[in-house]
Amino acid sequence: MDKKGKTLIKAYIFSLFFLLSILHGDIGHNNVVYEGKAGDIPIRVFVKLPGVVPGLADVSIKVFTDNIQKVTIQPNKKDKDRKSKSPPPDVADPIKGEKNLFSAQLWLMDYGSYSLDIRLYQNQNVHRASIPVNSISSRVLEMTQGTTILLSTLLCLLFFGAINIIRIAYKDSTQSPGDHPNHGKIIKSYIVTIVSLIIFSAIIYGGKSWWDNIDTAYQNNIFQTLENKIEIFDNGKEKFMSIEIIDELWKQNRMADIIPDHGKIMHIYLISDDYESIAHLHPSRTENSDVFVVKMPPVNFGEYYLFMDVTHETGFSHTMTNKIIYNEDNIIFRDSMKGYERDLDDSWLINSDENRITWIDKKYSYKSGENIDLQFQVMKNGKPAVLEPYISMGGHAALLKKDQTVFVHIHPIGTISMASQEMFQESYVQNIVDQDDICFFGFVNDSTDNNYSNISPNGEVSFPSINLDNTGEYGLWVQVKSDGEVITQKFDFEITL
Amino acid sequence: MLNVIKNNIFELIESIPSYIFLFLIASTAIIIGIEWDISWHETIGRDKLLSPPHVVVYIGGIICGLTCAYMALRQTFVDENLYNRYVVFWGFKAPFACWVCIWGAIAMLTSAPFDDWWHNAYGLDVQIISPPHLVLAAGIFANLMGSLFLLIAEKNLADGKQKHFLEILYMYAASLIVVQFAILLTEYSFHNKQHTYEFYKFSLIIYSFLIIAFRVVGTHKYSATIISILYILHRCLIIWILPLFKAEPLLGPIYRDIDHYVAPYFPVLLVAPAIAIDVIHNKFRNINNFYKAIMMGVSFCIIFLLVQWHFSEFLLSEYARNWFFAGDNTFPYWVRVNENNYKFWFLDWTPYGQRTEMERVTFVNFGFLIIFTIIFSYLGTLFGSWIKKVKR
Repeated sequence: MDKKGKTLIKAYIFSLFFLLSILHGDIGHNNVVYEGKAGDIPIRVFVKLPGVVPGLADVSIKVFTDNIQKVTIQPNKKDKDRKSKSPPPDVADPIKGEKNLFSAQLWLMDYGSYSLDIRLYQNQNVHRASIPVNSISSRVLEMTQGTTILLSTLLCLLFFGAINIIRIAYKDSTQSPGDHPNHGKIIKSYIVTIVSLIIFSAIIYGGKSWWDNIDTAYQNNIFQTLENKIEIFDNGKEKFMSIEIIDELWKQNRMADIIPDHGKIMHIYLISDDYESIAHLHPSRTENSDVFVVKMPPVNFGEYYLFMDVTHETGFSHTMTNKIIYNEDNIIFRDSMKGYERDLDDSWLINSDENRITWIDKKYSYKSGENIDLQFQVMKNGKPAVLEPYISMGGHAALLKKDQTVFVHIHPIGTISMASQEMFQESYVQNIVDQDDICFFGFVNDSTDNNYSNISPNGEVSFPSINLDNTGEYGLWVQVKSDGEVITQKFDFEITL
Repeated sequence: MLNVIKNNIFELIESIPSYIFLFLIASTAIIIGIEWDISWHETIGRDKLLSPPHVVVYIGGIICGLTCAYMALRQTFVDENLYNRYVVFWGFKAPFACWVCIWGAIAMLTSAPFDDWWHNAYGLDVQIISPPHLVLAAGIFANLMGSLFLLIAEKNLADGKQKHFLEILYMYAASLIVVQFAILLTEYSFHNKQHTYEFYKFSLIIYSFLIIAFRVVGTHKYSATIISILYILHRCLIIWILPLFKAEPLLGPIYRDIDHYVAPYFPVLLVAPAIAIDVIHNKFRNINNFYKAIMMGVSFCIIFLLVQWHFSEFLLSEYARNWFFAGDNTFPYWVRVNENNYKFWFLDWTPYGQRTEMERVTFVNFGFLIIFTIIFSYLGTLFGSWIKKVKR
């Protein structure tokens, strides 16, 4: 990749994070959705992350059973090498007028990965679930017009008030009561006014520069995913894509190592710039632990966006991004390159001509913030397809805004990283959710009917509904597996005001 | 005999306008509220608009603001001779101190929405010294200065026993301003940072300016010493009283066992350089202010450095780990227990995780510091000479 290309990519990544609005280890989305179980009880958890650190997260918990006496939430922090205690749990209050819906606000004080330990108290039993969330700075808050007007008015009042106080301090305050300042003092008081005007203007200017410096430091601290280098190699037999993490934080070993998430060290979505082709790939880690290699799928030459999901040992999960131009000129020929087998779960869609999946009650246009239901019916040969798990899940979906500012990788259990959840849940002493249960398949009714199965005989798959704030065009790719075949279908929709 | 003393004291108190006591109560409430709030953040962590320390600060601000507004409205619209003095501000009449306090109340009011926005934009109280906190600090400073101007003006217009009593109240009001700056310097004044250049830079510049200015205003022979003692006593009372109350962290991650309020850092021993300031001021009363500033600045610098350098070593020693010095009870819940807790620090981290090196004290930078202190001592003398004359 040439220098200009790198600069463009940097600018692209930079702009990506500045145009963010709201979902999790994803991009441009500060919300975390979890649909699963706490012990034996089905729950749906929605976490609206603050986007600043320290910040206040809004958590709502829908419990799909009655007779819950109390719901508590405790934020637990897991650092790379540090041991810390958690604060006492907060009690989530029931929402008036709603049945079995609880909410709480939680302070996330530090950067990194938190587990929200949710406990449901039912009679003598405590049912627990762990929801992993990232505590990062991810947004820049603009001042609203109302706040700007209010603060500017008060600032003007303080500014001119201070100058006038200094003027009368000089002219009048030291006069004995009843005396009047002489002409010379009155003249000098104007000079004092001008000098104080200059001094206070300098203070305002200095204060603004200080504020700008803090803002720059904050913006530099906004979480940027790990910098990486993408190369395409040809060893004479096959083409491979290499992903090398070159970020300083990573190279200096200041970030914990990455761990597999539902059996894969990295999940890559490769999406063409015309949004017609998509590949879901799973690279292998090489002997050089910074480098990951995957066999190229049979996609056409062109420009591609890459979204690479990883989870760290601390439970922190995020999506690395990049963009490649895939053509003859960018392929590096290296006969000596070792070959890598294709992961059995790699899948792709070259042209969007698939029509076996129906998005139930789909609309083309949704309002900003509106709940978007994600329920799908899969048909095969005119009959409901019998679905089987695809990479330990009932289905996968990738959602991309067509300016690349929002990317969400969602499963039937929500947007959380399962690897993070497993890691946090390992520490539970009692009422442990069985490891098999954590990694359930998320087919329709699995969670709400307390029924785990590894097939969906009626071809139905659903994801927790989401809402999107950013207006614009979106693409949604849904992937399911039936009879050993991965079916991928694209849907277009838009978000309007 | 006791009855005579008692009657005299009551007579004295009755002879002083009651609003003076309101101003002093308000100033004290604001300062104690801020100290409690900092300890609350370090111990409990969880903050809300109407937390008890915030309420104490608001009450102080409201008493001050409403008293001044009432005085201004009455003197403007009811009787311009209600108080024995006034200045005119945008057509309204009130004692000069009232306008300073009203400005302070507006600044405190401004800081609330500004701080709220700041928390939403950059996170909760990443540092004490932030733009909205400085707007609040400016407001509090104006309130305290207003109280001071009020007492100076009353003192200048009083005589006899009343003047002496007002002098005592003046020294108390001045000590509250020293306490406010001690609070503002918290981040630079941890026991572990008291061998760094930045601690001496900020302490010498600010404390020399304040102590010398207040000495120039004071009519008591040892007013600088008394103001310093009142400051130390105030901080000690906070150190001794706050940890008597149980409290536990409600935010995490929690890195140490805390079950009572965390104390502030032990006050710097300002009394030592203050004695020197009193002696120089008394002995060289009639010499040029500039020469006096040189003598005061140099003495302040050297005495402060010598005393605090060694005292900070004591504060980090095991002899200071008791209720009196609270050497082991100044760490907030987020500070990890490690071998650096009782060592001097020369490395620091910015709120956003960047490591910064702190400058050590050398002969060269201390030389510059002496020059700065002389300049600020001179400015303190000028400021003191001016506020001493306030009569309105």
